[in-house]
Amino acid sequence: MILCYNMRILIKTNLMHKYPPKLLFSQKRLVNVFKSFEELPKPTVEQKEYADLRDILLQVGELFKVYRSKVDEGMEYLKDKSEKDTPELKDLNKCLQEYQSCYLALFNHLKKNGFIDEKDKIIVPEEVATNEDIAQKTALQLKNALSSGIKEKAAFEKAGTKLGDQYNRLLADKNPLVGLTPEFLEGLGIKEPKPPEEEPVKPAISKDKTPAAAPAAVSPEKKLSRESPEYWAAFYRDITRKIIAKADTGEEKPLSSDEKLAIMLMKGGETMTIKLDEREYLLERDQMGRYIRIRDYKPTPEPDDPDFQKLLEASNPYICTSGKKERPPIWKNRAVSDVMLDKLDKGREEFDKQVSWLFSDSAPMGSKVVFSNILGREKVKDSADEKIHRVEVEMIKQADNSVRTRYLEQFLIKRGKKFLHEPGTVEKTSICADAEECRRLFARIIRPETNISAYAAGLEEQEHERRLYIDENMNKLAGNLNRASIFTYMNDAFKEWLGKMQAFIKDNGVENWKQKPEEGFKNRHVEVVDGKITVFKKNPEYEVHEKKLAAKQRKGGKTAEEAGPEEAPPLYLTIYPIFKGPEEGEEKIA
Amino acid sequence: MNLLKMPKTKLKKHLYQLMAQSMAIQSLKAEERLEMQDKILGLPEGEMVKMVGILENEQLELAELHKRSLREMKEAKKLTSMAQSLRDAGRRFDKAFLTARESEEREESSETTRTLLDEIERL
Repeated sequence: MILCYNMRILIKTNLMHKYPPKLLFSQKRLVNVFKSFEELPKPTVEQKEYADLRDILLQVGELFKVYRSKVDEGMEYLKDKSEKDTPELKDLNKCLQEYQSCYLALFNHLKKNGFIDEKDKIIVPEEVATNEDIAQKTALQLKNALSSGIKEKAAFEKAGTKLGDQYNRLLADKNPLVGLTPEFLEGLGIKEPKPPEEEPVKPAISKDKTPAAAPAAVSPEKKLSRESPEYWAAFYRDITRKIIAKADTGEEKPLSSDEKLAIMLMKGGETMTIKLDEREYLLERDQMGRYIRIRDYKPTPEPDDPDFQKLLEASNPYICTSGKKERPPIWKNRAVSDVMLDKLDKGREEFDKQVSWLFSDSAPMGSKVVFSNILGREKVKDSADEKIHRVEVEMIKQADNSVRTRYLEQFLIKRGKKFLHEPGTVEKTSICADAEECRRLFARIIRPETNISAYAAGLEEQEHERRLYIDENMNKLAGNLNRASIFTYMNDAFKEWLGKMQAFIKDNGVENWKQKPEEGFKNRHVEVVDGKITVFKKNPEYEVHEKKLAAKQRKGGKTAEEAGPEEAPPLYLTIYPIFKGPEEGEEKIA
Repeated sequence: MNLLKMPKTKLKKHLYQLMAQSMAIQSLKAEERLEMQDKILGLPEGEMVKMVGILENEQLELAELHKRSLREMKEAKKLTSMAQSLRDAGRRFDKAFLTARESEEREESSETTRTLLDEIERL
C-alpha cells in the first residue's frame, strides 16, 4: 500500500521530468526507483527553481488526494484498535496528528491566499505569457504597424502626387483647380481658405521728389468669387508667397495651416517646383511632411550665363543702350581670369568628389572633410610680400545623413595695405546642409572669394590700381551715381546680390526690402519705379528739419500737421535709378 | 508626456531608446534589427507615435510579468516548503502505519503460535 502511495506521488510530482515514463514504468526501473526513493535528494527551492506556481499547486493537489486516502485508511485502522494501547499505535496516532496539522496548515495558507475555492478545490491560475511570448507578440505588432505605416505613407504620397499635379496645372493656369470643396479641405484638417487680401499699394515716389498719393482702396465688389478659378489661383499664389517669404535659410520652420495645404499638394519626402511670378522655386518636404524648405529652383546664375545676362540687360538700360558688355580693364586680363577659372574648376571637382563621398554610405557618422586647400595659402611674387587668404570649409556628417557645414574665413595680411576686405576678420558660420545646399554654399560663399585668391596669386598691384581707378571715377561722377552702380561692373558678388534684390522686391514688395549696411546703401531707400529698381537718397536736411520740429514741439510750437508740408524740405533729395546710365556730360566708367 | 506635441527630434530619441530596450527588436538578427530600426525611424510622425505605444506596451507587459514572477516565486517557495513538510509527515505516517501493522501481525502470529502450543499440550 505504501509503495502504491509513493508511486503515485512519484508519478504525479515533478519527478516525472527526471524519470521519463518509459523508464519509470519498466519493471526493472520501477523496482530501482522504489528502492532509491528514500535516498533521493530532497528538492530545494534553488534546485527546482520553482518559478511556476502552477506546478506546485498541481503537486499540492495530488498530495492532498494522497493525504485524504491515507488518513481515511489510518482512521479506519485505529478505530478498531481503540481498546489497545501499544507503543506502535501511539506512534501511529501521533504521526497521524502531525500529518493532519501539516495538511491543515497548508490548506489554510492556500485558502487565505485565494488558491482554494468554495468547494475546497485548489484553484490553479492560468498560464501566463513568458518574456519570449511578449517579445514575439510585440514583434508581430511592430511588423503590422510598420507595414500599415508604410502603406499609409505611400497612400499619402500618392494623394499628394495627384493633388500636386492639380496644383501645378492650376499654377500653369491650364486647368484651374475647381474640385477642392470646403469639405475636402476640412478633411485635410484645413479651414476654408479666405480670399487673399489685396495688398495696399505703397505710394510711389514721383520724380518731383514728393511721395505720390495712395491709390483708392479696393472695392468689395472686386473681390473674387470662391467659385472662380482666379480665386483659387490667387489663393495658392498667396500661400506660396508666404511660404517662400519664410524659407531659404535651410532651417526647418513650422508652417501655418494654410501653408500646410500647399505641402499637402506635394509628394512627401520629395521635391516639386512651383512657378510664381515668372520664377521657379524648388519646394522640399521632409520625410515627416512637417517642414518645408524652399530654394530658388535655378542655381545662382553665373555671370557668363546667357539667362543672367538677359536678366541684367532687361533691367539695365545702360548696358543695353550703350552696347558695352565688355569687362572693365582690370578684367581684360584673360590670364587672370583663366587662373581663377582653373582654380575654381579644380576646387569644384575636389569639392564634388569629397561631398559625394561624405553623403555616401561608406562615410560613417562624424566623418569630416576640410576644404582648406580649395583656394589655399598663396604667396605673392615677392616672397617678402606675403599675404595669406584662407577659406576653410569644414563638413561633418551628421546622424541624420545631413552634413554640418562650417566655414571659416580668415584674412591674414602681414603687410599693411588697403584692400577691399577688412583684414583680420574671422567669421564662423555653421549650417546643417544636404548635398544640394553644400553645392550652393560652394557657389555662394566660396565662389565670390575667388577674386581674393586672385589677389593672393600676385594681383594686388593690379587690384590696387583697380581701387584707384574706381575712386577716381567715383569722384568724376560727383556722387550722382550710386557707388553700387560702379560695382555692377566690378563685382560679381554685387551682381549676384543685385539679382537677389530684384527677385526679392518682385516677390515681396519693396516695402519689405531691408538694406544691410554692408551693402553700401546707407541712408538710401530702394524702390521699383516704372519697373526699375531705383535708389532714393534721404535728404539730410529733412532730418535736421525733423529734429528742429521736435524741439519746437517740446517747447510748445506747431505740430507737424500744423506746420504743413510746405515748411518741410523734401524727404528724398535725389533719385538714383541704379540702371540708368550716367547723366549727360558725365564720363562713363567702362 | 503628450507624444503628439513632442518635438520630432525628441520623439525620435525616445523611440530610439525604446527600440534599444525592446526585447522584440533585440531578439531579431542584426541585419533585420537595423532594417527595422531604419524603417521605424523613417515613418511619419503619427506612425512613430504608434510605434512608441507598442514598445511602451511591451515594456509595461514585461514589467508586469516580472512583478508577477517575483510574487509567484515567493509564493512557490512557501508552498514548496509546506508541501515538503506534508510529504515528510506522510512518510512518517506510512512508516508508523507499517510498524503498527507489523507489530499487529507479529502479535497475531505469536498468539497463533501460543494457541497451537496450547493445543499440542492439551493433546
